[in-house]
Amino acid sequence: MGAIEINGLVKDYGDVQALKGLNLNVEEGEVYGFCGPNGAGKTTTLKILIGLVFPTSGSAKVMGLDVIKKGVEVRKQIGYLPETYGLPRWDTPRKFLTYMGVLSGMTKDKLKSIIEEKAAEIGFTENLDRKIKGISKGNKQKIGIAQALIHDPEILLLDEPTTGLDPIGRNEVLNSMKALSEKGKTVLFSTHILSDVEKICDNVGIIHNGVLILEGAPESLKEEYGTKDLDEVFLKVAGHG
Amino acid sequence: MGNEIRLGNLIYCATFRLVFSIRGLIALLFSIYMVTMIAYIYDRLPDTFFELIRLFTEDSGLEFQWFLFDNGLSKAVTIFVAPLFIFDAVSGDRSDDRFGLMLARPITRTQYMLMKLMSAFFAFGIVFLPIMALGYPVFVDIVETLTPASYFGTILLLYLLAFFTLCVGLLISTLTKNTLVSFLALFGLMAIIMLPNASKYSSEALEKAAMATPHYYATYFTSHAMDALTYIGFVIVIILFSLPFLFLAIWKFKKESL
Repeated sequence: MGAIEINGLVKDYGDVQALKGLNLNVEEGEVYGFCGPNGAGKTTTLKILIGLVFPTSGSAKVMGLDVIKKGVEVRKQIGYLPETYGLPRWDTPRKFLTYMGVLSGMTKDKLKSIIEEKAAEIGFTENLDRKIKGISKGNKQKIGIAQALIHDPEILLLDEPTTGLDPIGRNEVLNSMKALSEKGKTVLFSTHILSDVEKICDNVGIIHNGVLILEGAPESLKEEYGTKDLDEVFLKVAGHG
Repeated sequence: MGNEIRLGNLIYCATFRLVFSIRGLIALLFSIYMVTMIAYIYDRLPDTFFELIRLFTEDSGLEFQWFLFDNGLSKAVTIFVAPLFIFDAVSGDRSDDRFGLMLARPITRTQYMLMKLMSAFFAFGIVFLPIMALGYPVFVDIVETLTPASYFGTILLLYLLAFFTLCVGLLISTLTKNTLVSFLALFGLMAIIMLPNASKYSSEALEKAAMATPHYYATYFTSHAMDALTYIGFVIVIILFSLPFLFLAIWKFKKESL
């Protein structure tokens, strides 16, 4: 049983078909890079897994549980970082993470120690009691990742976690993801930055116009297509090379 | 893993987030302002405050001041204070891109909506009930008798009226994408609902029109001729007016792709 199994997933937004029968499998404990250009269907796929968007047809399962029928059980096992999200500017990270923890069914007492632990785990360096509005973009992204980790999920879905970060921030976030996978977590992260994928992923899937056009280990894909990096592989497969 | 969601915990946490926020402060200041302003205009507070204390020790001879209550406080509360706690409950999360954070947790959408509604209801109560209880002398007059039952009954019925406002507000917040639009829509709608009540003494027709709003039942309460059964009936009527709005809001939200 894979950690994530998607079969024939279709999502229509009116006349626009965002997903056209997507098939995808992510094994337990692997870091899977879900790549593709903007508008390829990456965010829609993640939103379906988390239950924010309902599919038109097809099925999606997480740890063998249907994401529609067993949504609550699925979300107990998933930590999700959206592509865009608004942190409450006047909250402190501690207050915000406490709220997210309570929404995940945890008690405030239990959260007191967990928040410090998760902040250290992802390398959050600033004061947890400082207002979020004064915190750097890289550290805000780390708060985003911390909220996804707060209930100790087995699977992490991260939507464009490195977009908009400077090289140092990007590197820190990628290292955090790698460290999480070493602890046995399954990580599925979407990105259009293929160099990020090469650094940390066990497997990569490339989605284009709502269908998975390529899947495999980064090194074997480069070898197969005779290219130096995944960008060139993608351009070849998408017909632009 | 293995954490079970308790709705009570969610509501408790969300309530205090609302109370200790800018809106909580605005609601508190507005409530204080409202009561003291009326006290100042009618020059009532110094004398009647002591009369209020006597309510619980002997027959005070206080009577509910219908005009101030019905045309002053209850409308201001319904229009201005209660909506503050609900207008952006859903539309705020939508416009600030927070659904991905909130609804990725192991909660159902129904639990999310109930958390929003009940936290607003309790936050409103925490701010408003003490102010109302202390400000009550403004609305009593030394004419006939006012009992502790009618003192608490009136305050609680007014509080329940806020439940109706909050249910309407939750629906509006669910249907709108922008917090300003949801605030103006809720503010405007509540003002329209108040209009038949504001002019209900002008004619029999208007009084009948006023009866079509829960506000009528919440402010019908007077210090005389109100038995317990009638009171319970009014409570039921207000709840019956509120529930369709709540159910509609939950139904709409549950089937939406976010």
